Amino acid sequence: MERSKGRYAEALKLVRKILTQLKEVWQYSDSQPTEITLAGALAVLFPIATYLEIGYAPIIQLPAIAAGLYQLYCVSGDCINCRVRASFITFCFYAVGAVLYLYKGYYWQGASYWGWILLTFSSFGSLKRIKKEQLHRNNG
Amino acid sequence: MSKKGLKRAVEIFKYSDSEPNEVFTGLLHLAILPLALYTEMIKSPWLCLFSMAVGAFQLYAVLYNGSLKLRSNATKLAAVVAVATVLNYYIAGLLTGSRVGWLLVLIFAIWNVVRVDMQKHLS
Repeated sequence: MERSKGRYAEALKLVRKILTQLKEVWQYSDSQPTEITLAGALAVLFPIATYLEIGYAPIIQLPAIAAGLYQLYCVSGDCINCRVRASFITFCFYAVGAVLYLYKGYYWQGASYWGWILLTFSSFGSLKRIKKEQLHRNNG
Repeated sequence: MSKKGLKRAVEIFKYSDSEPNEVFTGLLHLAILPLALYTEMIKSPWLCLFSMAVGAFQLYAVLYNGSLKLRSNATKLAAVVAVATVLNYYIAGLLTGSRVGWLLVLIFAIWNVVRVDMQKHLS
């Protein structure tokens, strides 16, 4: 009984350590590589995938290319306000994409489509991190 | 003066933290890839099991152990899984539309190998 209690406490400790570390990585690590990846995927993968699977929707696909390129431009510079703006726009596009795939019922066809939900979460995380950085910079 | 444009992109990819991408790849290999293989390509149970094991190992290496040696091994294994995934999807003719995202995961996995190995050599 004592032994199983000890094991349970150890497992709980391990889970707590992993969750704390996960939170730290999520909150404080560099966000630029994620921003570049999200921007690249938005400029290339998003228009092609939505064109092939959802259909021709220039009102989403063409601005998505522009938004992806804008985010790449912002990351390549050093303006935090520009990066926050670009990240917000990217998040909006991924959220719209995720809703479109949900509306078309793709999530029940295969788990590969869940990648859009993951990209939406990733872009939200990236936006949150940069916004925090912006607040820190503005408040000294 | 700080670098701009492409030079800055190269600098970011060389020297920024790779942990978020390692966590991302680990989670994908542990949960999403087995489900994707199960629903879209039922013929690869070994890849399913291997991917889950590698995903769990990568999460353990980056979130619990944290040593560069273990992280380096985990990123290499993750790259092998990512290559196998892309090859399987390509051979099955399924590497289209949203599934091209697996190619993105492969790029992530390769970048993780480069980044962690570079960090290992510097330390």
